[in-house]
Amino acid sequence: MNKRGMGSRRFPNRGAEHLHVDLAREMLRVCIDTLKRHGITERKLRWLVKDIGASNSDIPASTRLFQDISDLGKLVNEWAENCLYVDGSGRPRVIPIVGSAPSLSALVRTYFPRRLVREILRIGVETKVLERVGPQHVGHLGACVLLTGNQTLLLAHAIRSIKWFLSTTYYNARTPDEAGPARPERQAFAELSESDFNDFQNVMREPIVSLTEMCNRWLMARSVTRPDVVGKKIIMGVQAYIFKDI
Amino acid sequence: MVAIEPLVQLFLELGISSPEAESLLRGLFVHKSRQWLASQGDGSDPSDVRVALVTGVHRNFVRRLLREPPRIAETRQRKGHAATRLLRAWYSDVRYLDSSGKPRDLPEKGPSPSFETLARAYLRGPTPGVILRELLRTRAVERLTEQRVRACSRYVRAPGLSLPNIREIGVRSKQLIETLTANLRGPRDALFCDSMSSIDVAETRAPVVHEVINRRATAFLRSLEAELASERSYHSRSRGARRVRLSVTVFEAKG
Repeated sequence: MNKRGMGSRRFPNRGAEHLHVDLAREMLRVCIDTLKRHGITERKLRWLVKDIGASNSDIPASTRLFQDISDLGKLVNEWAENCLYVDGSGRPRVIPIVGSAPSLSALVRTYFPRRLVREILRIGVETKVLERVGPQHVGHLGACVLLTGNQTLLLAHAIRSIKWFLSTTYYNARTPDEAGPARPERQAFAELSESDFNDFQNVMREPIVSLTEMCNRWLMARSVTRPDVVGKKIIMGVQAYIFKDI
Repeated sequence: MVAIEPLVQLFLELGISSPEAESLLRGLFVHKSRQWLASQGDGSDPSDVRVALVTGVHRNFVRRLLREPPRIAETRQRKGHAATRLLRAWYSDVRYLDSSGKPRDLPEKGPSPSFETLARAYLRGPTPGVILRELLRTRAVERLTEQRVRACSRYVRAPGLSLPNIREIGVRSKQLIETLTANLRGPRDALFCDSMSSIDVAETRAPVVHEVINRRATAFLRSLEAELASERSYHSRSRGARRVRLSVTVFEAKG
């Protein structure tokens, strides 16, 4: 395991500026290659780089795109947590689509006040958090909103993840005197055969799900117990994923 | 047959399989025959050949059976219910898991993912309906509304007063008492034994909290097992070295 987050002055500072330029080039290259894989042409990319300095959007596109996903996450969370929506064994129960609480329409009224139930049902089924159970009922399929197959949302997801990760590394790059304790940021990797990857994935799936569920529960509980905190609200959280370097 | 029927029913309630019952009965038959033959003669033990002749059990088996008190032979003891394979798949095959990695609630019939397709893929022979009835009886599976079913356990084990369940109480109690007493004797080499501070929750919230404990503890045990799996192969390479058996048990306490 590599522990990160040490102040940059602990490393040799010779030629740091030159190194930073090299690293900035590599970072842009990684971003450009990823965007190309998502179908954005080289020409369009050049135009975008020039345009970035001029534009000043109040709400980033990724945040706008994720509004529905974020609200859907809150909806399924309520379904899994609210005693009205769980059965005797603590698992989310199958609920009617229409009707008074507990029902999907009641949840939609809370989290998507101006939206149609059937539209939210469609998004829920597509992102694999809901499943139709007969013509009039719906089941809770999981608290994790899956974006698999949706290229636009996955690109937005990647942008938000990169932004959050860079924010943590920037914070940890400050010298220990300036900063408080480093934000935990850990990674583990090794070079192994391609055939080991599936086993690795199977082993890590449950602990990753468990860790993020635990984090989600803490954050949701805090937002319920302290809803009226004054001052600017910020997004905070934990992100965990399995990767292979390609 | 009429006299044996209630005995068979008791075996079924205790979770004793037919091969296990046959093995136990054979042992009893041989032991009882020896006593009976002795009482018929001068009181001395009859030869193994004579017991074999009376019981119809081969003399080699008679000798083996008479060496110890009547019990179920190890080779006949059930190593696990056949449907355990199906439950294991329900907890691990991604087609049957939800987005959080938990086993999905499944419709009883229909295209994949359903209980029908799961049963056909992982358990050849009995029909899905028969398997489902058995799993519902042993409470490894629960029936929900809308003809849906839910996995409640990774293993098949009939609830109630059965031999495997009583054995498990014995094993778990022994482990806990041994750990606590070993820690009293030698605090320096103490084995891990810790617990979270207890929390008071509203009765209506108890099922949700119970489900959280269940998921976290399961994830912890599975990941620890996977992380330490390499120790097994390390051990098999160092043959001849003294072995120490280690395990971790997590349990939820109420009250």
